[in-house]
Order: sequence, then structure tokens, then C-alpha cells
Amino acid sequence: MPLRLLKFALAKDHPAPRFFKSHETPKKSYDVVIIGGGGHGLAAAYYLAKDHGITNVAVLEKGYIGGGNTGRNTTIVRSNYLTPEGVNFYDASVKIYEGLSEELDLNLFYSTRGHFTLAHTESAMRTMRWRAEVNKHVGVESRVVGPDEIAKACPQLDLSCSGQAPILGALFHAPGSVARHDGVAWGYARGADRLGAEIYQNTEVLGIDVKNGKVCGVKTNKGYIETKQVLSAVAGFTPRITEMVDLETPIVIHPLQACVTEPVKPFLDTILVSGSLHVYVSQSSRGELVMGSSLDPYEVHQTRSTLDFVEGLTSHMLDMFPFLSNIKVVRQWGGMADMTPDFAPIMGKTPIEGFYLDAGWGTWGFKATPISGKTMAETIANDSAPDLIHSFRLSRFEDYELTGEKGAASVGH
Amino acid sequence: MQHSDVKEIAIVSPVAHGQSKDSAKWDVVNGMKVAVAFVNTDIEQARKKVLGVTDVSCFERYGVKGPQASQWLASRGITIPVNPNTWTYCDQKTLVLRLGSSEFLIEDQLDGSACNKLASDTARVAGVYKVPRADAAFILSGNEVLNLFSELCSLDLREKSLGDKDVVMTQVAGISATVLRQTIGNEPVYRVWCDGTYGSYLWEVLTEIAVELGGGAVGIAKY
Amino acid sequence: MKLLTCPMNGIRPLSEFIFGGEYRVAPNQDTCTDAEWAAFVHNRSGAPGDKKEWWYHTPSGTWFIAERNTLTDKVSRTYLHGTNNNVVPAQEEEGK
Repeated sequence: MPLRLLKFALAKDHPAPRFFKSHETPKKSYDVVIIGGGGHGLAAAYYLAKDHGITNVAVLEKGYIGGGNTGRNTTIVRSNYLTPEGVNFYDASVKIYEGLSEELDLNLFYSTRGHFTLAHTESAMRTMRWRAEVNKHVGVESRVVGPDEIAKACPQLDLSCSGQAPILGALFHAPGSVARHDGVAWGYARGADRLGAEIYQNTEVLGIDVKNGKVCGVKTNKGYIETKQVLSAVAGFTPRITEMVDLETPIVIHPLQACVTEPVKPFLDTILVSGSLHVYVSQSSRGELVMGSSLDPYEVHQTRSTLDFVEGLTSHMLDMFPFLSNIKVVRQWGGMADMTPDFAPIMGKTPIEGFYLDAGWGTWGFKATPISGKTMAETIANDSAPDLIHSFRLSRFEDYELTGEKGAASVGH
Repeated sequence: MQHSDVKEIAIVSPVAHGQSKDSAKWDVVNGMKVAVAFVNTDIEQARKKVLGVTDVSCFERYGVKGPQASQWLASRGITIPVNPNTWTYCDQKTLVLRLGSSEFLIEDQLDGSACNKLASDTARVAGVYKVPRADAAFILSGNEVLNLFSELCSLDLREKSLGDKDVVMTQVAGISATVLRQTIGNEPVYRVWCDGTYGSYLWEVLTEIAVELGGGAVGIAKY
Repeated sequence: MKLLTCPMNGIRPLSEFIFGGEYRVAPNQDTCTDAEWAAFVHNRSGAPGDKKEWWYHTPSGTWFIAERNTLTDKVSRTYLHGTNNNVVPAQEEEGK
């Protein structure tokens, strides 16, 4: 990096370094078309090239890359889930994340903080014990801790929560981390681009051609593209894409909102989550408190933000940290969460040949970016989903084999 | 301790838990232990004029719903409000609230006796269902009462928008409540009902604001 | 959407309501296939558009139907479901 700086200093003109090439119009055909230039889609393009040598790939993004839910989440990475299938899957993701800055040659500010899921009731404590046992069984570092250990990790926290909901204990998950979320999208974009994939921004998919149950092409605002394999990785837009191929899914869209405060002196090392108070919070490396809450309570396909959300969230934040009452919220935003009934994703093949789904990421998608890219690439390359994502297949619903992860969703219930 | 005066085991007002901090004088009214007075009568009289909060959960109540409920009540001599979300007096001693189109809340004031009569009729009738009531109930009086509501309720409860026979079911201090305007002894008051489990919470919220506005708790002896 | 009109209680803030999901008609259990039933149990019409939905006014315990566009979040009309009530508009029965 210093060498590159020196080169810039000595150069006469200063061309902005591009992360990926911009192409005018898409080619007539590709081996694989990926709809959605968020973390998941770009990671899939990267691993298709790196792991499987498939480089004739187009990533179509209707806005700009990482501008959807990849850039709207609260950047938490963890694997302390409830089902063994979920824990294994998210643990594989955490392991890739840990070496991802080096692999992508981009500092993702991956910062392992430790993650406390606070329990305010006996029933929440029971879920924490359950999760700790499942995690330990699978080899993931999680354990139940008492209020004294929470107080040691975060002395500013009011353990009584204003007397409303005293903290009885927590699930402590040491590998819990935060990362620069847009960096993840940009890193994968650059990696995929270098290996030969083509990325098209401002390119919207208008329709998908299916003949005799097989995908044969994609209509876009930049022309028609022939392809036999399409991956939909569009999070909150999934129902609009599946409607194009007449595929029914259980996905319903609810907005999920988040906000940040002005930067303050660092005081919060760990990531805190409270299901009872509907809060998750961490402090960014710039000092801002990054906060999120539960889903908006009804279906709407918008990314608007509301005053109700900030009022509710901040009042609960003050239960936990009364001294923050003079801190200002400087920014709030929303994303569209593609919710599933069992709080697990929908990944893999579909009844339409060549149409693959990477969806149902609800409120839990960012942490799964690397592993979902890797497993979807494998699914596309082999036309067969690996065992790791078998429990997330779309057909689990008609088989009544749901993968119940609701108890591990941070505050979604 | 007032407990020694209580001869039978009486139900305690759902609001009582929120009042334990106050040095209230307790008595049993309609079989319910309730705060009859808080401070001396002059101070309570003054509070009542500014903003008085009184627990009247001990009033007798009877709930009934179903497609035949209005006919059933009428056949027992109860005056029925014609429109949903309105109320009326029955014999000047009993309030009859029409909650929606086919549900009713009947509440005897201190001297009423309609509820006990209705409750004694246990014969089952098709299309008539008894609704067990476990309300916390309040009287809010005084010239600051609208300022209190402006802090707790998003609806406009002034006379020009809340008619004198209107019943509104809305949220007060974040919980579901039923509200109407009534005149007791020439004084305009507001009545509030909520689920009994929220009774002490609502009492604490109401009295806290009442004190800020120059009023406070008033015992039921004032009514 | 910040306000919603309850057919019984008039215009109220959204905080007084609970969303009850889309109005759906179940297939006949005696004649439908297992796949049809599983699809009814799990699948939803997730794409944005005009929808008929159940809403609940909490303080009064009123369930009613709202016709709402889930993209614009605009409600075109609200009404009570069924015929047990004397204020139901006549054109309401088509979903039954």
C-alpha cells in the first residue's frame, strides 16, 4: 500500500483505481447469469471462477453493487444458531470470513468482538442453554454466562435495564464479529472481475425465459441474454423474480430498519443483543453506535424509515444505557427482508431446470455471504446442492421438514 | 393496619398494587378493597378541581355480547344505546356502553343494582354470551384533564370531537382503553376503563401526570 | 401509512392495529392433493401489488379487511368481513 501511494504521488495524473471493469453492454450469451450484485451474488461469481473455473458469468445489478441489503445490515457475523444444520453452515461462513481480508487483498475491518445474547427471562435462559449445547456439540465456541461476566465485559450496561427487564444471563459467543459490509461486496466484485466475470450495474432484469421447464434466457433493460443457468440472489426482491418464472415460495417481505448515532468515545467492545428489548448494538471503529431492531410488523415493499422505529429502539437503548440520553441519532435507513416461516434461508435448486435460488435471507444474510457464495457456486457448477445446504432447500416446505431457526434470530420474534 | 377491619376476604382493587406507596385509607366497597381517601378532604377537593384521579374499579360491571344480546338486555329492562360506540344512562344509576354493534358493557354507579340482577339470570340463551369483566376503572376530573390526555392519547377528546354520548376504544398510555365523557353532580368528568392487569400501571402513569399538573389521587369517598 | 380507518371506530393511528396477513381461501381438504395443501400452508403471494388483508383493531377487538397496495402502502378501502354485521358493504362477499 505505501508503494502504491508513492506511485500516486509521483504520477502526473491520478486515475482513480477501479475495483472492476465497466462493460458497455452485456454479451449475447453467458454460461451463468447472476441476478443481484450484492455480497451473495458477487461471492457466487467469485467462487464459480475460483473453485470451478466457470468465468463466462454476468452479474446483473439493477442499482449499484452492495447498495441493497449488503450495505444496509448491522454488519454482525456469528454462528451461534439453534439447529445443528444452521450452526454448521454459519460456522463455515465465519471460518471463511476470518481469512477473507487476506484472500481478497482488501481490509474488511473484520473485528472479532465477542457477542452477548442477553436473556431477561427464564425461558430465554433456557433457549440460551439449548443453543450453547448445540453449538458446543458442533464445535462452536458458545457458553452461557452470568450477569457478573456481562458486567465485566460491558461495565456501562445497566443490568437491571431500568428495572423493567433485569438481565439474568447471556449466551456468550466468542467468535462474534463485525466487518465493513460494503467492503465485502467490493472485495468479491474485484475478485470475480479479475477472474473474468462481468459486472453490470444499472441493469435490471425484466423477465426470465423458461421453455419446457428449462431456463433459456433473461430479458434486461440492456437487451436479451441467452443462458441456461440463472441464480437469483436478490434478497428483498425475490418474490418479484420468482413471479417471473411462476414459482411459488413462502417468502414475505417486511422492512427491517437500523440507525447509527453520532460518533462517541469508544466504550463498547462487544456486540450486544437483547431479544426482550428488541435491540442489537455494536460500536463501529469510527465510534458510532450501530443499532437495529425487530422487523416492521407488516408487509411492505419499501425501504422507508419511520419515527416509530427510532422512538421504540432508542427507548430500549436507554433501558440498557441510560447515560446515552444526550447522544444523537444521525442516520436511519431500512432494507427489505425476505422472511421465511422457519427463519432459515431458501437455497439450491428449484423445480425449474437451471433456475437457482439464494433467498430467504430475512435478517440473517450478511453473515452468510462467503459460504452462500461458495455453496451456490458449487450448486450451479454441479447442478446439485452440497450437503451443507440440504436443509435449506425449497422443497423442505412440501416435505414438512422445516429448519426452525426462529429461536436463534437475534430479535425477530 | 386497616386489614383487621376487613371481616370477609375481599377482592383487592386491580389498581391497589400501584397505590401501596400512598398512605391511603382503605375500605370495602361492593366486596372490593379500595382506596376511599388519600389525604384530608380539603386537599382532595382541591385536587378534584384541578386534576383528580379516582379508582372506581369496585363499581359493579356486567358484560354481554352476541347477535341476540341487545334483545336480551332490552327484555330485562335495560335501555340500549342505538348506535355502536355510544352509551346511555339506564335509570340514571347505570351506564350502558355499546362496544361495537353487538357487545355491551353495563356498569352500575354506586347506587345502581342492574348488574347483580343480570348476573343472577343464569339461564342460557342462544346468541347471548356473557363476557367476564375484570376492568380497572377510573374517574378523571378537573380543568387540566385534557392536558393529561394530550400526553397519553392520540385522539382529540375535547367536547367538540368527542360527543357526550360517544364511547371511544383507543390506546391510553400505550394500552387499550375505553373512554367516555360523563357528568357527575354537575361536574364534567372523563371515565377510563382498561384491562385490570394494567390497572396499577395506568394508575401510576395517571397520578404521576396529575401531580405534575397540580392535581393528584382522589379517594372514591369523594363520589 | 400512519393512519388506518377501522370500519367500526374510524381513523386511528397505526399503532392501534395488528397486521393479520393476507386474506386467503383454503382449498377443500377433502378433495385437494397433498401438494396443494402443503402449498396453501406454506406459500404466500409475496410479490408486491394490491392485496386483501386481515387487520385487527386492538382496543375494540375488531377484525376487518383492508385492501392495500403493498408497494405504495396505500389503503384503498376497509370493511368488515362476513354478513353478521349490519354495516357490511354489499359488494364484500366475493372472497368467501
